[in-house]
Amino acid sequence: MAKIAIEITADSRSHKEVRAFEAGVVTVGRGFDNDVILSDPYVSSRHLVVERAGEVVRVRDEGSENGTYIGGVKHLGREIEVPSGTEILIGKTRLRIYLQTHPVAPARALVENNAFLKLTGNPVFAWGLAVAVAGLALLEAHWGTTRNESLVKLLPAPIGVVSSVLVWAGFWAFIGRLLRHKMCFWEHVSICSLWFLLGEFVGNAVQYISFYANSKMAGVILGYVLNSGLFIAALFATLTFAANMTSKKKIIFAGVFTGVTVLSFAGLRLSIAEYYAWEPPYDIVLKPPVFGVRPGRPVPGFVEQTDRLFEFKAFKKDSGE
Amino acid sequence: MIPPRFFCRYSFRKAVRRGLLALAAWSLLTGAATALTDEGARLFEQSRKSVFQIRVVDQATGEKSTAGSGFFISTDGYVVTNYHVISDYVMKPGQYQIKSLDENGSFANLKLISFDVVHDLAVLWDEKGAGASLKLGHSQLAKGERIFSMGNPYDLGMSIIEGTFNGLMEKSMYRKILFSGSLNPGMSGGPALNRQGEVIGVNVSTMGNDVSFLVPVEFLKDLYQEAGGQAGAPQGNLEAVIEQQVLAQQDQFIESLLGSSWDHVGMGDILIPGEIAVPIKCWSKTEDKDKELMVKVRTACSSEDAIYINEQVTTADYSYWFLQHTNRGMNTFRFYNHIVEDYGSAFPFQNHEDEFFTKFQCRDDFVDIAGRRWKAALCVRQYKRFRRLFDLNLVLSTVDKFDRGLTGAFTVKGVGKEAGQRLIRKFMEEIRWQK
Repeated sequence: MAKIAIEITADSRSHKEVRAFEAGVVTVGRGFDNDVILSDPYVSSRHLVVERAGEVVRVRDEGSENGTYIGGVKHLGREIEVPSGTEILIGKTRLRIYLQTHPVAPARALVENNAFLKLTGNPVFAWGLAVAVAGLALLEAHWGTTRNESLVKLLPAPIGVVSSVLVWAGFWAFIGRLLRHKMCFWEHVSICSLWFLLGEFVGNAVQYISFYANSKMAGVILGYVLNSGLFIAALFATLTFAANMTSKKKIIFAGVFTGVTVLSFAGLRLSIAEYYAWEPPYDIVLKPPVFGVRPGRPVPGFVEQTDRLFEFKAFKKDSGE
Repeated sequence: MIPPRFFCRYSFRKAVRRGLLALAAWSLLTGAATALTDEGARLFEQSRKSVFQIRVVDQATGEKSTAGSGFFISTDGYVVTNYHVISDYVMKPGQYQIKSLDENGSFANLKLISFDVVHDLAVLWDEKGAGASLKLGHSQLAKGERIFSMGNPYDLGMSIIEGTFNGLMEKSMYRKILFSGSLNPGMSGGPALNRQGEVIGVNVSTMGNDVSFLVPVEFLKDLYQEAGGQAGAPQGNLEAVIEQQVLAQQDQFIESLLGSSWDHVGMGDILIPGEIAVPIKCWSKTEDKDKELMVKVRTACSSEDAIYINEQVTTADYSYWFLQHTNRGMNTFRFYNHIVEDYGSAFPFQNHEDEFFTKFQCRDDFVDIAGRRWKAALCVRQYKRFRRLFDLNLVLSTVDKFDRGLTGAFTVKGVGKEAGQRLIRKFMEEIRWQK
């Protein structure tokens, strides 16, 4: 659990940055030997030391050139105790320092992750999930064959899936390193693996539902909705580790990104549907009768229902001929 | 089986390639050639004034879009060729012109009088009349009799070839004569003659290797008689004529199917439709490989003949297949994955809208047939130019057993709505349970 969180804002910065520290003492300044390095020319090379002192924060100006302002009062070379959440101005940069015991809930969330999100950072947990994903891919490859192939022939599938997990995690770790100075690689591995696992589950559930409901459309719609939801959740969790955003912003970002992706994909499919047959126009889902056999119609009933198949929209108006 | 090739179109490149092949084969054939008679020379001399090349000319460029052969059957200028030689003109009369090119290299304009799309015949008229014409005979020849075919292969020049009459094919849907001789592109529409020089049929198609087909002259007589009274082009919309001819043929054929008792083939404990009519042939094959964890038995049936409408559209053919899957050691989920593959591949079309067809509309449902529960899907598309004609594709698969399945498909092209629905119903009801 982080002990101190420092929120950094400045007019020259495009966004608010929050840094969290496990240590009880944090040094701030322009020099490279500080914990928080600020590129503000009005900040001294070692400007400030922030220290946790029980329920309050102890701030000590290290004899800076331009001083440290707290509540409009200039302090120079002095140590002062302030409550969690106090704003401090050094040079042109504003710092707001929080302790984990800070009573305001949103601020607390910045300092402390919930138990589940914390678990995702555990390498053992992350590898466990990645192995599960690989196992599932292997099983799928195996189920796609009609003879028992050697493991070597089936390996490309799990290797491919695990590679994509690692690429995803690597990408977001890089983004996190840029935005938050934290990689959170294992967290990303866990989230991506979980997303793949749940996606597999959702995909199968949707197939069973559309098969038993005898509705291709239900399957397509349910598939789009559930997979979009899943993607939003995955993106939300990923952003938690890779960027400093409020929950509201994360939801908006994930929602808009997912919406644009899904819509452009659906649009692309529709626009080239005229020229490319993606699949037969009927529903190609068949499932073994594990949940029983759905009732069927007699043949005459089936054929009677096909009347409307012979009516084609473009010509409806002159079908009277 | 390979469908017969209609050969009114050819490319120069192909022509040259084939020419080279023919040259290479020449030395092998010279020995056999001496066994042929010189009757050909006599018949050629006797008939050459009546046979000529027919071209469909694109009015935009004045150049030919297709070339075939044709011949005079009366001195007042009636000409016969294949429908498929002039199909471009029939589909777009405003864009093309039909012309004849005789041995002296002079062109004449021909007028379309009537056509029979089912038997691939057309009657045209040259208003200048004819100097000579061929006499129509009959096609009741003995198997093995020598017959001669004339035409202009690959636009190389008027030719005559000798071959053997091998009977009227009772098993062909549109009743053709099997001609053991080598017809080639460009000869379509030319006459097939007996030794007296009478027309016994019209060149129409080939499957290569001396397996060629002729339209019996009797269909030509019917068409000519029909056309005889009319002194002008067919009335009204040519597409409506095609539609009517296909519909009439199809309704008649389906009516005969609905009224007959069907032959069956056993697949496991299910009987499926077999050779349900004379022109439909079935083939079976068991795929039982050593390491495969599934045994597949396939039965496929089809009518090996179709009606040619234009280069993009052939219609009025029937095909169906069934595939029996028996599990041999896979779990049921894995087993069903493979049934789904075959169920998904039971769609021999491209599902996109084009100049000739709409997209397919489908209905999926669960159906009870032969005491088993099936998933079934019927897909239908409409012919845009012939709006009373539809293509149907029925797909079926049992879904009530963990370790075996029967998957099938039935494809019917160019049928009317009512006949199509009745045929689909009969087909499904003819799937039966056997002890």
